Amino acid sequence: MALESARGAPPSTRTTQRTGGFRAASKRLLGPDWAVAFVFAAPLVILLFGLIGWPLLQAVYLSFFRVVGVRNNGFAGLENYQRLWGDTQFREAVVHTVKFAVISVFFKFWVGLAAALMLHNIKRFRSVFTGLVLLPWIIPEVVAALTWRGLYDPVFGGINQLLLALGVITKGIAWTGDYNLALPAVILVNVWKGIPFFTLTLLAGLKGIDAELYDAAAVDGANSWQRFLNITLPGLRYVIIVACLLSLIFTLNAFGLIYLLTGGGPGGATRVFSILAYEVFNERRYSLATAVAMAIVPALLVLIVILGKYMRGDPGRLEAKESTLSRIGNWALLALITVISLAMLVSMLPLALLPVLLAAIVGVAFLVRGDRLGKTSGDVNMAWLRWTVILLGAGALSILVFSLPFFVVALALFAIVQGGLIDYLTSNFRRGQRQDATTLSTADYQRKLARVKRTARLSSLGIGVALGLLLLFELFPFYWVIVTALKTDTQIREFKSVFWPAPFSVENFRYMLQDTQFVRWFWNSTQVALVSCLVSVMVGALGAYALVRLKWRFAGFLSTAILFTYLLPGIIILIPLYQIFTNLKIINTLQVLMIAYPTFGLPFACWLLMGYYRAIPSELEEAAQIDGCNHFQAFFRVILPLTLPALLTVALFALTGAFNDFLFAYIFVRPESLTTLAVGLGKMVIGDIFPFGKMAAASIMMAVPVTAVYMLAQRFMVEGLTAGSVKG
Amino acid sequence: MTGKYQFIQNQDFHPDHNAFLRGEIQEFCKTQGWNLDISYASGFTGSGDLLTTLVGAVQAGNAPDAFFHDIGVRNFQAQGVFEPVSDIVKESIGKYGATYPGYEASTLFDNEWWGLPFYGRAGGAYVRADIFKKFGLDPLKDCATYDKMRETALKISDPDNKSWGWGLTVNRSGDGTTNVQQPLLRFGSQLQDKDGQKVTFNSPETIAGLKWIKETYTDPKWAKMLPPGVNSWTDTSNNEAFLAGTISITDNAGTMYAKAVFDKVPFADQIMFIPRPARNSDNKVLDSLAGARLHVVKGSKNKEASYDLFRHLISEPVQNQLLVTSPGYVLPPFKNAWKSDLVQKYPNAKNSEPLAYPAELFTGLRHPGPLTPAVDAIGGGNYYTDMAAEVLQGKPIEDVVKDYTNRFIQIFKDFGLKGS
Repeated sequence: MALESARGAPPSTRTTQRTGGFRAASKRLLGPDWAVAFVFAAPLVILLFGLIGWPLLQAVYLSFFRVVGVRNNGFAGLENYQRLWGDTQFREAVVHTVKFAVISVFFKFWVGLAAALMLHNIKRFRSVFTGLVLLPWIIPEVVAALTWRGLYDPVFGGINQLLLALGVITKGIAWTGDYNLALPAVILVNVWKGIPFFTLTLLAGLKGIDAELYDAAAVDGANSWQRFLNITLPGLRYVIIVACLLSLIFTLNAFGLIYLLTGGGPGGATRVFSILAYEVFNERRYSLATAVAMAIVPALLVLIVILGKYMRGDPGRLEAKESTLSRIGNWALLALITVISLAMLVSMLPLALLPVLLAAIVGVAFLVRGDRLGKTSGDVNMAWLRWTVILLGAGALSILVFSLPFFVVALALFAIVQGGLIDYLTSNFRRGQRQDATTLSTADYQRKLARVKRTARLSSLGIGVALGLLLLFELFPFYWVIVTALKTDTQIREFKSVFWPAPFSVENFRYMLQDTQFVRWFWNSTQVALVSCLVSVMVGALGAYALVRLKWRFAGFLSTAILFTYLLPGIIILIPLYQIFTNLKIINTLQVLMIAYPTFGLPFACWLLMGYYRAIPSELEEAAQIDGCNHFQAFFRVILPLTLPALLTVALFALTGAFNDFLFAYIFVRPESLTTLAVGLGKMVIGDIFPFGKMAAASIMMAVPVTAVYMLAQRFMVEGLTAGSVKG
Repeated sequence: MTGKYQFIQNQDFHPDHNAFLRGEIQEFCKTQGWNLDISYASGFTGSGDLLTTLVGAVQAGNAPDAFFHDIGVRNFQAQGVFEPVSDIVKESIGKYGATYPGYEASTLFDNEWWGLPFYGRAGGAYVRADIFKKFGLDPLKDCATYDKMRETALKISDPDNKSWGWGLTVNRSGDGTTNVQQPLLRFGSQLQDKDGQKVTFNSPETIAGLKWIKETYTDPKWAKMLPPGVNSWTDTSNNEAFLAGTISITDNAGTMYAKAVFDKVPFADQIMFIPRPARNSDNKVLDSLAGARLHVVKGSKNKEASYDLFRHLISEPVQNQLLVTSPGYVLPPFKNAWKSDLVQKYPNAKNSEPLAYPAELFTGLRHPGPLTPAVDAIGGGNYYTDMAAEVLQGKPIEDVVKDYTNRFIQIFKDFGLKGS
């Protein structure tokens, strides 16, 4: 494996020729390629740890004090955490966050998988359909939220109007106003917006599975369910785990969509961690707000260390030896988790959190002892079963003091992140493969294959129907946006011609283009997006190369540590960041966004590129080096050109992120001449009046070019993702 | 002038109002030879992000020079964002007459003025005068107390024709918070004592107020007056419902009224601004108005320049134009201008005067104590709406009140007050 030859392998003779002097000593201590690796990884480290890591540490520090407004009332120790654990609102927020994240990811995954399977199996217009399925992901959060608010409106909303027309209901339902319906309603929107991420990554994964496997299995008599279970799922194992983990981390930190849809209400029915932290932050109780945000860190850390493990390579194929420094890093993580966990226990941690706590310890133990566990990969991992039994015991205890749903979701979370279920399923397939190795005559083979293909033709009708339903779900809100954009203010206000604008008007488009600075906003966003893409691509490419292809001590630890950017909601680090950017003299310029945006997409970019690099045979690089290239030349002349699809994918992800951000652009850039699209749209909202029609028109104008790019580029994206996600 | 003159403008609803003010500021700076850098504050996420921006900017030594807004001043001042502007406020009062007691209560503390009153804003109860007339009802009399208002809302409701009387939500939002706080205050609930040190929320008055709220939203007797999903509304919803003509009574900032006038909504001239219901015990009107203020940001090196601009913005010609642009919504910030025809000929503007200059000031949530950052934090949070939600879900009111009182005590303590 490329990874095995690249990292952890015994030092080559070339690097050990000189045994004396600083150079040799440094190579022994830091790894043979440390100097080159430092140069390659420096931009990544500076960007992530300078802009996120340092403010994060400040936030942790802050949580142990009593800072209210500009006053620091002294050291508080664990008091802020103790207060949280005794607080009913906090406990509710824990439950809501876990429910929101786990249920969302569950549905996003399954629907995304179904969509990917369907798209994978259609022959015509695949690019168009894929582009359409991606639409919810592209539009800004504010537009998505406002659209769904319109759809959810209890009196005039599209959903109620539709259900009333169909006779399903006789009275409008308060989707976001009912205490029991609000969270599901918010989850539905999150699922709607998150499906494309899974569709895209899983589609890429499917592309990487050898089609002959399906034919062979069909000939062996496997039905479609068995083929799915025994080929598709195992083939997607790596991408499923990484995509679920990433999505789970994003979803646990979700803020904007919920805030804009319900504000955390009714009551606290949709108040998740991030909303609670934001509320306390706005009350200027900074230390407490930070403690709220930090309280989720143990859970995120578990996910992150496991994700880090997967990002560095399939756990089953990890190198046998961890470097000493990586071990130190892992032990440091273990210590951190233990400290936080003990803090929770000391402060009356509900027993129901024990599963999460145990999962944390298991996760770190897995990291530290990865070499041993790695050897058993591919079969049912008894260690996981053992831990599952322990968790069940802990869960049973937790049921006594807390609630069953919480334990169920905690266990589900655990099962998903550890991939134990998938391991189990794949092991069945592997056993099956061994047992069913039979020989068939060519004629039998052709006959069975023909039968399978006939069945496939029949099932294409089903695929068409299912794809239609999926598109209906994904695109109905866009229909609503288009209809809204083509209505006058009066038509919107009076809910006239709800499903069709009669007469239709292009006034909103005219207004946006002629009476606002829309074109300038678009240009500003484009500049920021293009440069932040470039930064993401360059920094990600260099960093991922250093982490995968160079031999140095920090690679393992750094691979995990780059994910730390996901630990805190942005709001908590805004003020320290503001000061950093001011000191760099880039506040109130577009450059600040060009540098800040890549920080959030880099972990994903690194994951993608690391997988891709691993798939490139190391011989190519070695040949270049034999021809006289140094590491830099080999990278730029040989490796980089081979990774173009992955680089394009990273660029498109960065592009979307840059177009959607509101908070950073609003806080860090004041001059109106530098307003970006999302802020421009935000500034059209005055007080408690939302210009729905104008925002809808703006959204369409924003979405069209981005969607076009996606449609054109999605083939490359899938290729880019394929190597990164499947061949890890 | 040191460097660029940086100014942040709050956007009010009326586009002409915004354009006029921007033009005035630009023109004034141009004649002064200043290099102006002006930007709008976004109304998108409320004042939280503005405060974060300004705190960050002030701490980083990169603050704008001045801005105007209608945000709660106390929190911004406590964060060290403002310079005191007492001298220009006193100068302006001397020249144009007294400002509102409501302005004073919300802007003058620690013996300093932290903002210069710029223009008053109407805000409170709005009703459809035409619908009241149709049922032979008088908005002023028949909404004099919350009980009467509720009965009136029931009478004028016609759900079959998508017309509901009660356009007030208690869901999480700024409006929802108001709609919980105001009835509680009318029942005599108090957040704090007169020294502002102790929380006095757990009282029979608070419990009575919450019982009334629960009854309103859960007793089938009142169901007919409630628009479907009223408790899923956020801040925009009652605007939308009112402007769509489906509700007859609501409580809102004047933005909704201004929007109706600007958009030429057919019943715009039938929108009537009335005082909120009076206090149950003594029929006393508790409203008091304030509005936008001009602020100098801490660390500005151009304070004198800001003062020159402020003087221009509160001068008679500029103020008159504001009244012409947004009658009944923008109100004069100083007493002398209320005599103007520009105020007196517009009923909604005229009706606002007793609220701008009440005989006896009631200071709302903080009453009877001082305005502290703790009061601001509680008022600006979602505590009141969350409390209402718990009550509506059926939790015992006494327990809910006790729980929230403990929360308020903790917040008081966090802000360095005794709490209990």
